[in-house]
Amino acid sequence: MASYGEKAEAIGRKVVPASAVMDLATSLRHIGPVFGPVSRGKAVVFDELESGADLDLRSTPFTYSPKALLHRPQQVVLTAKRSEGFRAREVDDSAPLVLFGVRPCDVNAFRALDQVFGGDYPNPHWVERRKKMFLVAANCVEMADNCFCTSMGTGPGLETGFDLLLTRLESGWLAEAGTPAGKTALDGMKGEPARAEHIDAKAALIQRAAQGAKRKLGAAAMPAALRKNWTHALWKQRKDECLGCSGCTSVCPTCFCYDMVDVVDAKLDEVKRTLHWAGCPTVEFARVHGGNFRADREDRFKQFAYHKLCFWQEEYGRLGCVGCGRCITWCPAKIDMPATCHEVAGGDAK
Amino acid sequence: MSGPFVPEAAEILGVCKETYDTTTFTVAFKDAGKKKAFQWAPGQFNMVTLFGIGEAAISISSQKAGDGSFQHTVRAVGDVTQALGRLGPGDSIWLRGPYGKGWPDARGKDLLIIAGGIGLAPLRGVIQGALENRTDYGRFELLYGARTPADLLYTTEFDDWVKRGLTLHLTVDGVPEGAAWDKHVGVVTTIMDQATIKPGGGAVLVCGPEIMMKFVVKELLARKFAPGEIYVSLERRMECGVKVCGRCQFDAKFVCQDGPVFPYSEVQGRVGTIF
Repeated sequence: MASYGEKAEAIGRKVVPASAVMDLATSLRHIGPVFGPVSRGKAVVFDELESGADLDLRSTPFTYSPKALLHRPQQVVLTAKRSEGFRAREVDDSAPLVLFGVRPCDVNAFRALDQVFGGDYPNPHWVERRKKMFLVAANCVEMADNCFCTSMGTGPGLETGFDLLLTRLESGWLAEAGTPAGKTALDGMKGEPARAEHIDAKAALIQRAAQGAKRKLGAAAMPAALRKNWTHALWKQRKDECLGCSGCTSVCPTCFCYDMVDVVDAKLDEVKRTLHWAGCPTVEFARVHGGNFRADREDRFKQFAYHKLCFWQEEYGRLGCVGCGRCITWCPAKIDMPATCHEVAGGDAK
Repeated sequence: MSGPFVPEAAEILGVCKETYDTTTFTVAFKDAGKKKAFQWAPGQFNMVTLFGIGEAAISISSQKAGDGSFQHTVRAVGDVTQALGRLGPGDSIWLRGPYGKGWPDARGKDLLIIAGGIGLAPLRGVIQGALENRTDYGRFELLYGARTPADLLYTTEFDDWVKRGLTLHLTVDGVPEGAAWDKHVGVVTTIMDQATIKPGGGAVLVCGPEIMMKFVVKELLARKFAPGEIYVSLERRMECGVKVCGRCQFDAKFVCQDGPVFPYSEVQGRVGTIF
């Protein structure tokens, strides 16, 4: 399985037909439920596959980040029963999962969250699911309108962090193994060994995709530039536009904040201590007795923007944004957070 | 799987009503090994659980006693803290911790403590420790303010503290009609000139509402104290205590693990605080 942090060079390469990709998705169900991009109406969502035929591997980022399968929107972390003296039992419901067709931005988001959840006190749910996960990544050969992975160094191609990596070539697919488990899966695929021309074709396709990026963000200079512009007039404008709905944090692949709630059964016996996603744009996020540390909506909007594109750098040595563009796509108020930061940063981050 | 979220049972050994809304609980872990092994620095906190109600971050308000017990001073203002107020000796609570960074070791220095209201709780362990080893410290002064005389914590301990070598200056913001008070009236910054400790040879430990700390720090800086010799303890909402829930974050700091005690030099100029 893909162990994070390690440099996973391709240890086997094949060129395979599209049918072999679908067959692989079907066959990987022996590991566990297979999740991948599927079409649902106009949207491509990351959902469980009945078979490989359900796959939709177009290069669009999916509505939700696959993060939700590892850091679930709700997660019971422990249970305790009054009738048993409230002896706390830790919940371990992690099971092997196959994630199929994950985009480079989202793979990089996993690695960002590996840092967040793998510190001095690891979040066991994340860590266990990461360990047990089989990850089939898919390089992007085209960029959607809101993608800016090229600016963040997180795409459109991927070098490490997968069991298997797929790239759609002009004819067929290049499949590359990054781990021994990936190699085993590769060995089971029909196809022929990849040649240098296929590797070159992959590189050319990724380069072409990167050149098609419609957005740019000056990532390297952004943290310092944002620090200088905490009181920029544009924040006042965004404050009036932001609905505080936290849709952005729900679709963001690196947002990790949560609330912990005790859910009690009807017999008033069993307590399920349950994690729920929480979002910093909401008014209750920083509320305590006697006040709210971010009572002003401007501060709440800035917390989201600054955490991703400024604070994260100092906290974890990288930015917390992977350039997927989901927060732009799904904001009901049409707020473009990355472009706002770009504008606020002015010439400093271009 | 062994995660950081599982609290362990502790027994309430004693309850002391400090004020109309604040109570000190003496507790000890039920498991003998855990009870013996539990170590902390004043300024650190535990996550306190009452199952079915929730979990709250509460500072440890004592230094370690010989019997392995320790104390939490709790103001009943939220779901968990109000429910705690209904408990008594023999009742159980569940704890995990200790978390975060505590106050600095100020041995060999003058020690100036400035506290407001419930902010004295995380400093009480420092006071107890310094009084036990009084000769390890130079001058030792406490400036303590509260809203009214009825809001002052640990009033029954003041005489003993003073007798053992603490210089104590008290103030209240206001005195309600009928309340007895023969000391200073005014916010805590109005008694700062009563402190004799000067910049350079000391540590200044500050804890109280953030607005109070803002003005105390302003006054300290005006008196030429260096940002590195001033320490503040910050409060934020916390759901985990271990840097994974994101709730206590401000700027690039997580209060639960990077703090709650910070040298002022670490938070000076950062966004998301009022400093």
